[in-house]
Amino acid sequence: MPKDNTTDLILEIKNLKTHFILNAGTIRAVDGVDLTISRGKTLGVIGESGCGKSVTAHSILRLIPSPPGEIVDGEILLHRDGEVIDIAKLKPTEEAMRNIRGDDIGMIFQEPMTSFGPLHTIGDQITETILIHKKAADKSEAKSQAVDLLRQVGIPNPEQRVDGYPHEFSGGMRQRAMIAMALCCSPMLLIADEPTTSLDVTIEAQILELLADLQAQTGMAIMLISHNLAIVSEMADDIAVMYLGKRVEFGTTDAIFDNPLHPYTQGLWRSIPSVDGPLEKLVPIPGVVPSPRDLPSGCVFASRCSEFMPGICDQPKPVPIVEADPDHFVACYLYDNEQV
Amino acid sequence: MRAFIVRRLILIIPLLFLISVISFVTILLPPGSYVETYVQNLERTGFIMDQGQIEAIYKQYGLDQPAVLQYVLWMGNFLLKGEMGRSFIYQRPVKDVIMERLPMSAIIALASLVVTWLIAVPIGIYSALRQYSVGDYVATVIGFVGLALPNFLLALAIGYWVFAGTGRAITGLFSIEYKGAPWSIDKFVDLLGNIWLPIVVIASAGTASLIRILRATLLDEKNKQYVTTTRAKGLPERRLIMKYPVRVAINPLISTIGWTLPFIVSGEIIVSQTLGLETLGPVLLAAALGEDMFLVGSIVMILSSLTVVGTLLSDILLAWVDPRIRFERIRT
Ligand SMILES: Nc1ncnc2c1ncn2[C@@H]1O[C@H](COP(=O)(O)OP(=O)(O)OP(=O)(O)O)[C@@H](O)[C@H]1O
Ligand code: SF4
Ligand SMILES: [Mg+2]
Repeated sequence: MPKDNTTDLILEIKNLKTHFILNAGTIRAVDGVDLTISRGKTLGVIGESGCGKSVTAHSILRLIPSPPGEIVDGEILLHRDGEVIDIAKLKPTEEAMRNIRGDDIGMIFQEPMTSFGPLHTIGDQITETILIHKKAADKSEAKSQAVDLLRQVGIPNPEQRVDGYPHEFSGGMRQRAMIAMALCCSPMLLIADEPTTSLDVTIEAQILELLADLQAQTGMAIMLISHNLAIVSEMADDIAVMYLGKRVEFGTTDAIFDNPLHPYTQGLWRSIPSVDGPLEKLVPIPGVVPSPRDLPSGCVFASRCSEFMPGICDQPKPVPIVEADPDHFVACYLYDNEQV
Repeated sequence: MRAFIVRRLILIIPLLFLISVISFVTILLPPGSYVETYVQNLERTGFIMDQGQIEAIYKQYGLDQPAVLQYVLWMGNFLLKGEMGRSFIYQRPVKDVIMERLPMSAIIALASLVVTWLIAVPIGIYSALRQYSVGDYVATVIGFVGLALPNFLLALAIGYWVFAGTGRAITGLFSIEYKGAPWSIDKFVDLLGNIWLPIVVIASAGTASLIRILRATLLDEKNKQYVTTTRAKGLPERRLIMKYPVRVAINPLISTIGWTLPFIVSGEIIVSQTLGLETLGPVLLAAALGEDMFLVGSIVMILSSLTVVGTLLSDILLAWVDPRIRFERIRT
């Protein structure tokens, strides 16, 4: 773990495996992921499209549609008030799970345009959450809380807007309202799954600034999923790099940026304009992501890796995770002293 | 909202005008005028009229006037006095014949609509939430049987079963002893014992399509992002489904009321004829066969107008329950 201070941990994911069991075969969307999130910190999760970031996030709130999705192995440990709850063992529909959703853990989604039900006012949908989790005595108190929240996320005229319908809000305003709704019960963890991908750049910057401000005020932790490396480098304390359902590298933001270890992470860095250094020649990672339906039996990155070591990297077993530097983990045989 | 309703009310006026013109054309349409039919009918019973009497009848109905003037006269009488001419078959004012039977027709049509919804909505929701379950298939099959069976056949079959099982013959709306009797609790109970059959039969025809529409929309809606968002807030599943996707999926059904009304009305005509109900259906058929054209034209006009008004009401209802449509329609 990056920080071995267990009192500060709020979420620990251990060897999570979420698979989709289809007639045509099993999609191992998340296949042995470890993550830790500490109080008040931001964990950035990066990786190419389809690597299992959203499935990981949805697994935490048990929002994976079942069938076909299923958590086949692993633990999702929520540290709450001195007790530890294994979310992976809960039934998605049971009350204990519903109490976590929206109350301990809030979530905002990529699609602000369709994130609200179209027939109810924004205010109704926020107050509903407040009332389910009994954070207000009655409707009118909940509504005044909703107005305060809308003001806090920067929506002008919140007293009127609270009675507005989703279609009356622009994309950016809807995402702000979405944030207000996710935060209405003061969760200790906010999962933000690509919260700005469908917004334009100025609005993206405003939303990220808003998230940072709210985090400073409330002390909540954020799990920020993005494939925009610049955003993650700015916001995150720790970074997890995912590839094909595996977490291939994990460390502090500085470590991941200044000293990327995994060949995939190094490839990612070469494929984007350098964040602060001079603009280097961009080198896209060769090859395409294989289908998660027929994963290679050894290292999942083997088919695209320039450092591929025959006889070692293609051994039919999971690649061991190595703590190459203190608090800096990587799943690659290059750093496994027993192999190299 | 008020502006929207007023605008729709204004728009409906030319439509009603068109309906009245078409209905009037059906009056003029048959070969030979209805006075000739009338005279022929009288002659058949041995009553011969002379030319003077025939011309007097022409004058009385204004039939010596050009068609446009006749229309103005007919509409003027209808709008000012509620008169719609005289029925040759019944030998009574058309107004009286229609008013005697219209309420029952309207009750049966409305009740059929309500029953259609009461059957279709729960089944549609169930089918969507338990897609491909046994119940889903059973509902689909029964729905399609209802759709495919001709109404009159279903009415006869159920009527026969009831008769074979209980000895009660469902012909007409009332048993013989209550026909023409003043209203009483017993008469009402007797009515209930009969009226369910046409209602169920007419409703059966419309449920299948309603179930399909609701099932398809709900299947689509329940996988939308807003459902996941709401689930992520911690809402209990049943409340979530009923409050969000089901409500969204019901709205397209409201807009189907407009085009199901004509089916219900024509279904009512056929079923009433089959079961001998004292509604407008059999009168329309008898009037059409007997070329009693004032009666035919007036019934056509009344039924069409009611359908148009029903469609308007369903439009207003839709705008009232769906803020998106309200927004869009009021703006434009
Ligand atoms: N409901 C589902 N049924 C079957 N497969 C699914 C389902 N949801 C996700 N998957 C599969 O899981 C894999 C991981 O998807 P996921 O949405 O987690 O990717 P992601 O990293 O979030 O990508 P993106 O950056 O595009 O959002 C994909 O291969 C996807 O096809
Ligand atoms: S284990 Fe081998 S193939 Fe996989 S990333 Fe490391 S060097 Fe490349
Ligand atoms: Mg995603």
